[in-house]
Amino acid sequence: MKKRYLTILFLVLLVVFTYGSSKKIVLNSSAFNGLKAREIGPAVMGGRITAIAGVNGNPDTLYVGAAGGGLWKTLNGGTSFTPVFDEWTMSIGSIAIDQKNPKTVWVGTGETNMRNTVSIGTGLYKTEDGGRIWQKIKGFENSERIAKIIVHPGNSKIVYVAVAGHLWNDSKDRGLYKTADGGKTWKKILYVDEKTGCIDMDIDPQRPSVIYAAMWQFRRKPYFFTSGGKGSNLYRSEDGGKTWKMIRKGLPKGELGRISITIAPSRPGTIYANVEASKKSGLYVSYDMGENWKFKNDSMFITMRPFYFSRFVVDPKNFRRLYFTGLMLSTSTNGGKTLSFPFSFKGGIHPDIHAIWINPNNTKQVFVGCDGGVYRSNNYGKQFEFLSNLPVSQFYHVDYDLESPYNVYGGLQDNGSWYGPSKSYNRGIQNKEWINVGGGDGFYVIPHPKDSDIIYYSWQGGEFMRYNRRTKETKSIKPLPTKKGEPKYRFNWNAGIALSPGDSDTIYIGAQFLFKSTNRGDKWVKISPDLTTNNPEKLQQARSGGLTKDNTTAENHCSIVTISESPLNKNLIWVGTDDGNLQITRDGGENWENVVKNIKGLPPNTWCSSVETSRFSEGRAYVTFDGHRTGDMNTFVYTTDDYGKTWKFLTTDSIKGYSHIIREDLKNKNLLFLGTEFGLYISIDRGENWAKVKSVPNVGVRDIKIHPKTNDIILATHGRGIMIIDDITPLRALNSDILNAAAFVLPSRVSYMSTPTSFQEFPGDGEFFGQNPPEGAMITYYLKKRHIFGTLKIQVLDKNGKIIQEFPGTKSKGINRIYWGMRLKAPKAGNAPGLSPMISQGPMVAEGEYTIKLIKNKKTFEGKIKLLPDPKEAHTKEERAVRHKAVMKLYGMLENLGFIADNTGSLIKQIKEIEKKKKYKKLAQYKKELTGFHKSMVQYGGLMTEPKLRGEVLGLYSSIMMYGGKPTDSQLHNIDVLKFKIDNAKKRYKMLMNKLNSINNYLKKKHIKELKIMEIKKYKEKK
Amino acid sequence: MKKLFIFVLIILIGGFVYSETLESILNKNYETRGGLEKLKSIKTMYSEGKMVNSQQNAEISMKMWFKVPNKFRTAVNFMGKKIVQAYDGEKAWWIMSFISPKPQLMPEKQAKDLKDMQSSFLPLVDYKKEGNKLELVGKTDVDGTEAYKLKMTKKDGKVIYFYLDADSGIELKTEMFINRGGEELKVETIFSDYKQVDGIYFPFYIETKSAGMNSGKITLTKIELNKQMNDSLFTMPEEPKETTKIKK
Repeated sequence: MKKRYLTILFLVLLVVFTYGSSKKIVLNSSAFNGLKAREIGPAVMGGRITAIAGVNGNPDTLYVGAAGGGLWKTLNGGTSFTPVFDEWTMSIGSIAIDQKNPKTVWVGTGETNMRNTVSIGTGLYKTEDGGRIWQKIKGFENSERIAKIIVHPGNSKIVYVAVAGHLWNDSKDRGLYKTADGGKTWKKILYVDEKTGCIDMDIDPQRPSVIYAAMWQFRRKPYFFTSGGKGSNLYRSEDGGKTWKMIRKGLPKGELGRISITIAPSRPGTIYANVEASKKSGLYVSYDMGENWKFKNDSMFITMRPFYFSRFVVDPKNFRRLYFTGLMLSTSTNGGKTLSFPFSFKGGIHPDIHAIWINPNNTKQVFVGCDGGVYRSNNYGKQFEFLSNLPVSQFYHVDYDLESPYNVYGGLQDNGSWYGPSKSYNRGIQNKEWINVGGGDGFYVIPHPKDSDIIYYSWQGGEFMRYNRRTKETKSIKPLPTKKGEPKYRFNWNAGIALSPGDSDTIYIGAQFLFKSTNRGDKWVKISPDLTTNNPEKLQQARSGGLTKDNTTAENHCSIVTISESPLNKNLIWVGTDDGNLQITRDGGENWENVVKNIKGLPPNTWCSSVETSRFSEGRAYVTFDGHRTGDMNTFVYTTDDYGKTWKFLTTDSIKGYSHIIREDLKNKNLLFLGTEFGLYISIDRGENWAKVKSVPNVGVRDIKIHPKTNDIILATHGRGIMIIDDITPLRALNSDILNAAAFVLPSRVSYMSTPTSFQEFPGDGEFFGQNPPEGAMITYYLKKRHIFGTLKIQVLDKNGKIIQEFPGTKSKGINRIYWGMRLKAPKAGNAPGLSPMISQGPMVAEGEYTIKLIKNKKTFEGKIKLLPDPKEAHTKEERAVRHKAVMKLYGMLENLGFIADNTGSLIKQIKEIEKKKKYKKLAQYKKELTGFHKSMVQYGGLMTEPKLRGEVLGLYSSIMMYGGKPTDSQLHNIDVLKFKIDNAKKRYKMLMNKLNSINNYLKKKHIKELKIMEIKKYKEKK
Repeated sequence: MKKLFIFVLIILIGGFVYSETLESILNKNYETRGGLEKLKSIKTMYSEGKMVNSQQNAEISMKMWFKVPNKFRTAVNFMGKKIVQAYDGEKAWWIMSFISPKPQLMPEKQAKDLKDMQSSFLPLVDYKKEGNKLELVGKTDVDGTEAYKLKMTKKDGKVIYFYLDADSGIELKTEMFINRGGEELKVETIFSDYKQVDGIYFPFYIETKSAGMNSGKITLTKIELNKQMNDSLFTMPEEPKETTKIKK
């Protein structure tokens, strides 16, 4: 026994000590600290909004929850928003503000608009300081979707939480929960079964022990949705949830589906319910606490797609005014008897309304959240304005072109197909810079690689378009059956589409068959048999929906969803299907092999979310599978090196979320990028280790592209628009040796020296600006540990070893990135007593290679960066040289003038000091001359006064710098004119200096401190 | 033998579960910085530095004076224009020579922000004396470096978070929120390049970030402790008369 103890002890110690001693660093998240993902939006179209809640006592404070874009807060009634939940989960189900302590906010994650593409939640959260710090509440980790939260109006410790629960599988976590101690302990107070969740509830504001709850039986499969069943029912408790009574009198007989229930706050005796039923779906009302229900309305606008809408709100002051979510917003002013709709001569509001909030202090003001973002009405929802400031757009795919700056292209959930710039010449990328090419739900948007007129785009169910950017014409190029008796083509909601990497006119689209066109879609060739399981059980989309039928292609199944042609062999094509097949052809489609059977450990029929053929080795491919649509939330990432015969599992514990996309780097075969439902992961050793990029929130990363010219990673996120990580050159160099070095200067891409642009616009504080890439040359370095003690700085040296600039470096552990402006110091152009334009920019440095020195205490680490003129400006070397010479001449002139002006100004100041004690005629005369001279050089009045010599030279200096090429003839000759003026000023200065000697002699005699001036050398050195 | 085993086990477990308290973390901080006695001996601090913008190749030089308990003055010179911000313990004032060469009382909002940000230069030493509440939030990380997060609630309710390096206890970062009426800005101040001055470690690098943008990196070039400083340095100079007259 003793011996065994000793052995265990020995082993424990061994583990502890080996762990302690061999601390070889493997890749972890902090390595990517300096790789900031920039969110470029856009916010021109919103993404789906799931919840809106405002503070009753201060309705300028509102929270908005998105389907995949997190939680946002405004303190100004919606003019501007800030994300307050980015560390957590992006899919918001419900928000509840404790109106007694409005800094306390509860957030239930997991959307409950149960469409095919919803994300998942991770439980219940609470903040007590208005969203700065969030606490994850224990007990809801497995809830997946929280439909509603209500804080007891009189007792903040009592909170009710309606858990709808899992969408795709059984779960015991469903039901209505209650806490009486502010969230420490919970009791499940209403539960039906593993298939039935709590989808809605309300509590009587005057008698808060009265609670109404709607239970809903629902289930989604990859190919089918069912709403309704025996579990669906309406309940009431009068004792705070201890006992419940089913309340169905007057409601339709037979099975029920989703129900929404709302008490009229101004008259709690009136209760409305929107009921999905097998017999008569519609709005019902009860005036006796739900004992008896009366039918009110069954308009299609309140009964269609209950799984997606159903919800409604009652005006807090008027029990007859109701607002319904739905395909369109509908309102009633007579308790639901008749409906009306917002009226618009103009754009109107985006369809598919999910969230409504009415300002209780001013019930005319209504906020509406829909598939297109948030809208605000100031007249009871008659007309609306769009809050175009929430970048929560939901992209499916992304692409790019080769322009400079390049454009990004992508399709969005219910928001069509778009493209926009990756960089703006304004302070950021604005909504107005985005261009729409097509409607519907957008998926692939791909510019033709060679013909800039052509953009391919698609919408749901395989609708495939070829758009002409110049003529704006669109041609539908979807493959259609061409032979009698051919089966109907089955296209997924998000049908697989791919461009050939080798031939710019060749495109692919997948139904159950793979189609190839070599002429941009004008003629298709079917190059495969049915590559799916063709399982009739999974081809029932026409019957999908449950009590309310719903066939929108969202349940189309047994179809191709991912296609990849090998960049090394055009006859090698991989195809993945939604029903779990992985097919490969090596002869251009003659023969296909389903190799999914070779993947050990993968559950059968798991949706193949992406396949990527290697550009380095023909037999190599990467593939991701996604089982979340059957409730399997695991990450499945595999690679093969032998055309699919054997597979290696690449998932590690560091990866969270089911996987959407894997991408191999264009240059480094060991560098891989993985997008999951919870963010972006990178591996630098071909999948052995993975680490999360923290600057990308836990958002669904649906597509990843690597730009071949800029080396940027472009992400299609399903909730936070497009994100870009600029220049991954340093990642291509990163390896285990560097990770274990104390510090290392990593390579960066060539930096282009662009001429700065100017803009003038005052769009107000609601304007959304997508982040531009920072200006300047990138300097990237790695630190093994955070720098805390001693100096860490960066020097930039030219080819002669002269230090051009020195600045402090950032100190984070991992990759740091800092931007150098590539400029000389601004010239010293003299101070002016009045307001005058300032110079903050020096001329650009010469092109070429520069040395970067990273100085960390006594150690120096070196690297190089390369600067080149911006190729798109296309000025010849000679032209640039003329400009540079002119700028440098003016630079010298400014400094000379500054020297004269500052010395003159200093003399005036010194005389004024003397005159404070006593005035001398001789000095006064000298001062007068100096002042006259000084005034001819620099401005004494405000900005609006006549510019003096300094202003003239400065003006010319700035205007020549504005343009990258040869200055105009006028500009070049004007330099000489100004030089003549400065020479004259020099002469006048010399005369005044000659007088200085006699003045100083005079002062000496009077025992007064002599007047001093500065030497020119010292002047130029002085900072 | 069994005893030895238990003893070793206790040490091992102890090593794993031993958690720091607010007091032990603060003590580590004082010790690393040079000791509580030394920190408390500071009566004044004068420093010079520059704000360097790597993207512009422009430098702004600055000088700062602190005098215990809460007087301070900063002077910035940019292109010959002077900006002075000061607080004498009661009044916050400034000279914005871009607008007017005359000293003026700061608008209430800015005055409050300024006081919040710099009312004490040893906030972790003097928090009790200043009537502030300090609590340990827990262990977290600053860009991957383990740190303790401390929450300071000031007398007036204003909250500042401190992030102390788990190894050395030294300040890595503070975080606070500034309400600009309708907009709340998160302001982070990052400290690094600690060097000793008279046996006390001071950060010679101070970076202020707001809303994720780099907004200012200050490198100090000189720190002098316990230099004689007159109170008049911090009080707003009296204007003879008509100080409020604005020239149109």
